[in-house]
Amino acid sequence: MAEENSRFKILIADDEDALRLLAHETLESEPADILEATDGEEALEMARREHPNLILLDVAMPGLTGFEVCQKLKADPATSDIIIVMLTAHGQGKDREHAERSGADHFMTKPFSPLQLLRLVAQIL
Amino acid sequence: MNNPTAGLVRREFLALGQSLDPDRVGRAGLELARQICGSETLLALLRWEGDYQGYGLVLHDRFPTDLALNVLRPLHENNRSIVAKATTLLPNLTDDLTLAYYPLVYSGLTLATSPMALLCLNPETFQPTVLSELELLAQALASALRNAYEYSRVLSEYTMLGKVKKTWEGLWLSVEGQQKAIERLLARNQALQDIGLAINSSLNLKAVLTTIVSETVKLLQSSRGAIALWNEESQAFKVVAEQSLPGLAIPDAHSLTEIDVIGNLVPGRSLDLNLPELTFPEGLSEEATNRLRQFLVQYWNLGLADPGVTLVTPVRWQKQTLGVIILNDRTPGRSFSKEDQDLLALVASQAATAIENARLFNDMTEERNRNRAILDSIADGVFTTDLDQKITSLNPAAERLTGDQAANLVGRVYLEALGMSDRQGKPIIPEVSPCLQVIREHVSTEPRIFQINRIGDQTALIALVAAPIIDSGEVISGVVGVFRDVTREQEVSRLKDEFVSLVSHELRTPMASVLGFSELMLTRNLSESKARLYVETIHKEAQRLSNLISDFLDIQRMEAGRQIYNYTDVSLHELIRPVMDLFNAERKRLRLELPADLEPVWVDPDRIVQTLTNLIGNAIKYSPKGGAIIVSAHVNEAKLMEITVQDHGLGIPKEARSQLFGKFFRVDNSDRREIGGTGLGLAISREIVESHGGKIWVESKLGQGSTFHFTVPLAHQTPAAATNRSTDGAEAGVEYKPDYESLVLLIEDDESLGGLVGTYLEEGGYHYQLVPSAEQAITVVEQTLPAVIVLDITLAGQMDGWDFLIYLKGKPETSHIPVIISTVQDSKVNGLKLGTAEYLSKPVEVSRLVETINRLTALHPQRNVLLIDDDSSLRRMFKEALSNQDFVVATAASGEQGLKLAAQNPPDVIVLDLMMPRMDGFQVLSRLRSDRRTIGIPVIVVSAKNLTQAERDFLHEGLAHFLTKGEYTPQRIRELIREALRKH
Repeated sequence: MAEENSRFKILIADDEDALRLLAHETLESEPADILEATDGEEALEMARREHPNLILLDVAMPGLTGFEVCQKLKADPATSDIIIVMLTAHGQGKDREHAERSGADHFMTKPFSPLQLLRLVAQIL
Repeated sequence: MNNPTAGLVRREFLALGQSLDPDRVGRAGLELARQICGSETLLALLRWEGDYQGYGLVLHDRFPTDLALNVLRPLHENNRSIVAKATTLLPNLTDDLTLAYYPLVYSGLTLATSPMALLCLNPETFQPTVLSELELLAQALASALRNAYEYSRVLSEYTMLGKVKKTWEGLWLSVEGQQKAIERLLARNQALQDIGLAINSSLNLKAVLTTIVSETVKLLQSSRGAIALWNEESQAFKVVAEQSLPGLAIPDAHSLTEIDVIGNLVPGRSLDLNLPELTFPEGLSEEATNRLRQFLVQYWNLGLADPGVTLVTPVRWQKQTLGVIILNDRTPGRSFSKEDQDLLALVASQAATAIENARLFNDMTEERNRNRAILDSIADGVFTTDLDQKITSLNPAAERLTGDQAANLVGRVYLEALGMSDRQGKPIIPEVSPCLQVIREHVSTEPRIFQINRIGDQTALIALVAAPIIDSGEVISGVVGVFRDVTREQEVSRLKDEFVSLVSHELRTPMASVLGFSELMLTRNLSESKARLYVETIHKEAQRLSNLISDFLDIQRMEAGRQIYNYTDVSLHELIRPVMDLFNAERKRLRLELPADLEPVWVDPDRIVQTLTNLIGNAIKYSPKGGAIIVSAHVNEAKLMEITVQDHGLGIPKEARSQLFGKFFRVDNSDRREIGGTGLGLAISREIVESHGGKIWVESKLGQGSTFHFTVPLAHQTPAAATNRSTDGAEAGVEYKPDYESLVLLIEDDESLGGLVGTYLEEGGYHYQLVPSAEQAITVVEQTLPAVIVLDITLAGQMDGWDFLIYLKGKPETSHIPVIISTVQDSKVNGLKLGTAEYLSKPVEVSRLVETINRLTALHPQRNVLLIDDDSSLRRMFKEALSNQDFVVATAASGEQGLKLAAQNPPDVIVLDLMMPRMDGFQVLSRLRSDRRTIGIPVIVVSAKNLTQAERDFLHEGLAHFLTKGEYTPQRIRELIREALRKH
């Protein structure tokens, strides 16, 4: 039981199969349970239920966008401690600002290096 | 807009005459001079008296005191305006000043030199505009001062007489003569004042001059008076005002106002132009003098018998004689005194002022009207504000752009009146208001984008520039704002940004997988199965990337009109095969309902495969829960192949349908996750189908599925060009191949000529049959239906060529056969009336004959039409109307696109709209005519505009047919196209 609780939980939320797979494979070596969500609503619901330590959150998803998910989680005291890494295809200006305003903790631009992602996650955890 | 400076100053010039106090007039004049020259200039108004001693009136305290009036004497004696370096004229002046000296010459004055002058000394050279203003001022001041002095003189006389009268009254002596004198003085004074008032109160020249004449007639107690103006061009006097005492009716009961005296000579009346001694003023030409004489004799009936007494005074402005004032009195024994003459001179100068005022006013009005016309017609909104930023005026474009009327906007602060906010719709901080900025800094602003609220809660984006209105004294008097609607430009630019952003997103996502997985492979030791999974993913994503790039390039190429289509006739069965192979995995869902005997279509196979792939791919993707996908086809009423792809999937929400064929549009809702694609498929499909002259549309029910339809032309509509016979030995040239199966019927009674032509025809790849008479030809035609007939007019039998033609065109089954007339007779008109296709005169150039036959057989009957019009609804309408006929219609939404299409795939005829943004029809036409590939294509120009002769000539030179938009109906266009093709 104690051992169970000590394992980290990472939620990967992306509507792109290939990118979920990439993140999953990258983080496989981490001592963490990896969850996946394929759109904003699912990500939100999973985050509330599973309370992961970290979410890799894609911005452009059908339904709720990553920004909206992030905002809702950060606004809710029950989930505001979850560390959120935003993933976006737009590296410049507005998306970064928007991510910061939504309360995201980190920001990564696609295409990203898996090793960098790994380092970032290791550092956070 | 008006130069407000000039207008203002000139109005003030006129106002000078309102005062009758010489001192006040002088001061006002100097004040105006100061406004014109600036405060640095030293000004003086001089009035000379007798021996040049002292200043009569020097009205500037800063004027050098050592400059005694006698120093200026040389200037005065010159009696001309002088502009020069002061030191050259006045050696005792040490400062390097420029001097401008204007004698105040009063027109009508008989004195050799004017007793008054305006003197200006400026530290710098005078600007030419300043000098011309000063000149005008001097003239106005001359009149006004003279009036004022005259008034003072009369007044002092009156005062004196008053004293005398009092004395006499004291002595109880009534002296009638003195009483009369006083009354006359009073009347004269009154009349002068009335005249002055008339001039200042009305700019209606006729009214002013009429007042002047009637007052003068009263004042000088004459029988009649008139003002006549001399027109140098027509060498005629025009009587502009006339007054007669009651009882002296004008003889011929004419109205003299504005009657050209010369044109009204009464025929048959011999004129005795001898008049009693009469002095005509200097400056009138002999011609003018004669006209005047004629007037007096003919209209005023002055003759030796009853001359009365006549006084003629010139009306002069500057040195030009504008006309005359004439007075005539028939009181026996009456003569005009010196005093009368002086008074009339005074009146004449008033008239000159009035005329000049009216001219100035007309000039100003004209200029104002011109400017107003410009302002009224430009598309940019223009408004002016006062220094409180309140709107003072605006042009019609501004009303249009704001959607509100000037009456509702004038007087309100412009920010509030226009409903302005910044481009995001946030209120404008008053400190950054462009007009305020102008008021503070006196410089124009850079264009800035704002949002305005139009009436009816619409918003629009405008680009606004504000600039100061500077008046005469370098003082800002208001702000002018110019703005235009940039909503569309901004929207286009926003869409472009969005497109770039979307492309960037679409490219980065698969790129992330490719780079990510390859990095993992390079840095980790992987099991074989993992490695395979990674490579598969990389491959899949790279494939996606590649599709995206090629779709992206496709759409760019198609939209730019650079796509080349390789048309051929092909069966749909052939086209669908590769598509079915591609979707082999979904084979079970795909139901093909194509009739076995389906007619072939005339398409670029690769592009139609691409379209089918897109549509079937979408049908699969958007029916995730399965359901049959049915592909069917039939020839529709418009004789086009209509292909449908039906799915039973998610369906398309109504609001999404209009954007469905746009770029990167994907129906976004949660059911649609996992649906990949580039978002370009339908946009590409539409481009392809429309380039084929077809159309694409969708029917859909949300939750029940969608059916996509598109149409393409049938192959049989272009038989000669479409048939694929390059295998049977013909040269693979750029030209179409002659139709070997088509027969040419030669009707020619000269056997040797017929044989010669036949040889050429055979060399050109045609069979021919030679018959010598029309009777025989009829039999052959009925049996074989030849493709083309070459007809000689003079024939051996009973019937001649014309008879044959009438017979042929009269029968429905043969009327379509093209006929080439070959004859020595010059009867082109007959042939064309009878519907002949071509006309060649003998001796026939055989190469031309073969060429003509090639053309007639190859291009029958379907023609390619290119429609260039920026109006999408017109494009659609004509495309539909014409596609039903024998035409394949390609459309272009702009001149540029049209040119590209025309050069790439030269159509048989072009229908061209004249009024298009950016490149208009004229430009397109001249480009078409300068390009080797398009030089000969017939062009039908349509326009709603009335063309000028020059424009018509231009079209004529460009060999274009012209059609106004009222005639722009499918019916008329079809006729014109046929006509153009026939002539071609």
